[in-house]
Amino acid sequence: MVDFSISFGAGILGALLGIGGGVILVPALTLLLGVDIRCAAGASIISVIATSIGSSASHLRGGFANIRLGMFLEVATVGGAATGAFAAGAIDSAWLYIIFGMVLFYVSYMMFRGSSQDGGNNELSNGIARRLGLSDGYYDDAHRAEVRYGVKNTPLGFGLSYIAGVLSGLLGIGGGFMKVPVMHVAMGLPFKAASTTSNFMIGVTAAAAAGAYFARGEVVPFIAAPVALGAMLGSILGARWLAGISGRRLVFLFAILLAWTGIRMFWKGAAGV
Amino acid sequence: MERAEALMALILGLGVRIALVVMLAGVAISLVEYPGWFSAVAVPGRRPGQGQAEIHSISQVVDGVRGFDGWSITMAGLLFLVLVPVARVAFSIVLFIHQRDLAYAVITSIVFIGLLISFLIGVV
Repeated sequence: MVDFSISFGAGILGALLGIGGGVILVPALTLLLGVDIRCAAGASIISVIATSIGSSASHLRGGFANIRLGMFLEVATVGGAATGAFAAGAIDSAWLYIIFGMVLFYVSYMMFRGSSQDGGNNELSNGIARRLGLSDGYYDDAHRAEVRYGVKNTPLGFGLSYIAGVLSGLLGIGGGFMKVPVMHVAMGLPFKAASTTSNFMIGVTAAAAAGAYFARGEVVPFIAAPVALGAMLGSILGARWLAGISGRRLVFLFAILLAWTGIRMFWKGAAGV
Repeated sequence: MERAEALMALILGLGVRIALVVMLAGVAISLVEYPGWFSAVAVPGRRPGQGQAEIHSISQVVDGVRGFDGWSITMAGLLFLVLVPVARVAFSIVLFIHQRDLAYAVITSIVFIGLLISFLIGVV
């Protein structure tokens, strides 16, 4: 079934890159299969949960994810997701396409830039981060060392997480594309910690958004169920590969694909406004 | 502590498997009840807000499951899947209390309440 294979691919890519696959899935469902963006978003929000579960299963054993930081930021993201999800009901579909297109441009831009380094902030945490004990560490197989890092810019991270939540609720995506840079670049987490924490967080965020989608009847079983199954399998596989991978070229190609998809989504919205 | 976390992982993993099995069962039953299922996938959307699911509330889902309706069963599986992250958050509260980490027990509780409110407004 086409839904299943699309979401399977999205799940693999999502787990590898620390995003929920929603940014891949929604455009695929709307542009390729002609599904209404709201139903696509509804199915995608379920798949984000599936992806999060699938990739979390192996990550937490590796101890990469910073659960405390994740929970702390989730206070903001959940609020944002509820806001965005309920607001989506009041907004014209064309705008959803436009916002989605902009999000895709942003994601592809971030990918072109690439992550500057794998590592994170070596200084101690400051301010709120220190008081809340947000810093953490993990054992890195690739470098064979215990990696500890400090956390900074906590208020900024919190505010940006709220925005990430709103986008999640509005578009049916996980928001990982924003959470990972926020944690890695703004707050100083090493990339692996940021992406695994993000994988954990997106499930919670999506759960907050799901209620609104169910209520509007935008979770369509014959779309959402295959999508969820595919995403779960794909993300389990992708998570297994995460430990050893560093695919610069792949990320670059993917960035191009996203930019092009962004143009198509934006165009679709602009045509309808 | 490791034991508690392992137990949590076990229970959540079980919950996920149940959700998936229920979804698969629902899909299988739907295929029997509505043979046109596969070709129905690419139906362009009806008016937004109208949705195509015709299922809006928990009570409808429960009735449907009793009546062995494929769509309702699939829907039940989907709802169950959504509950897994919520359950995880609830478990985390317990874990933090266990670790005497009250600050994070509170923080996690706030997240949990947020989830509940969002869900209740939407689904009930």
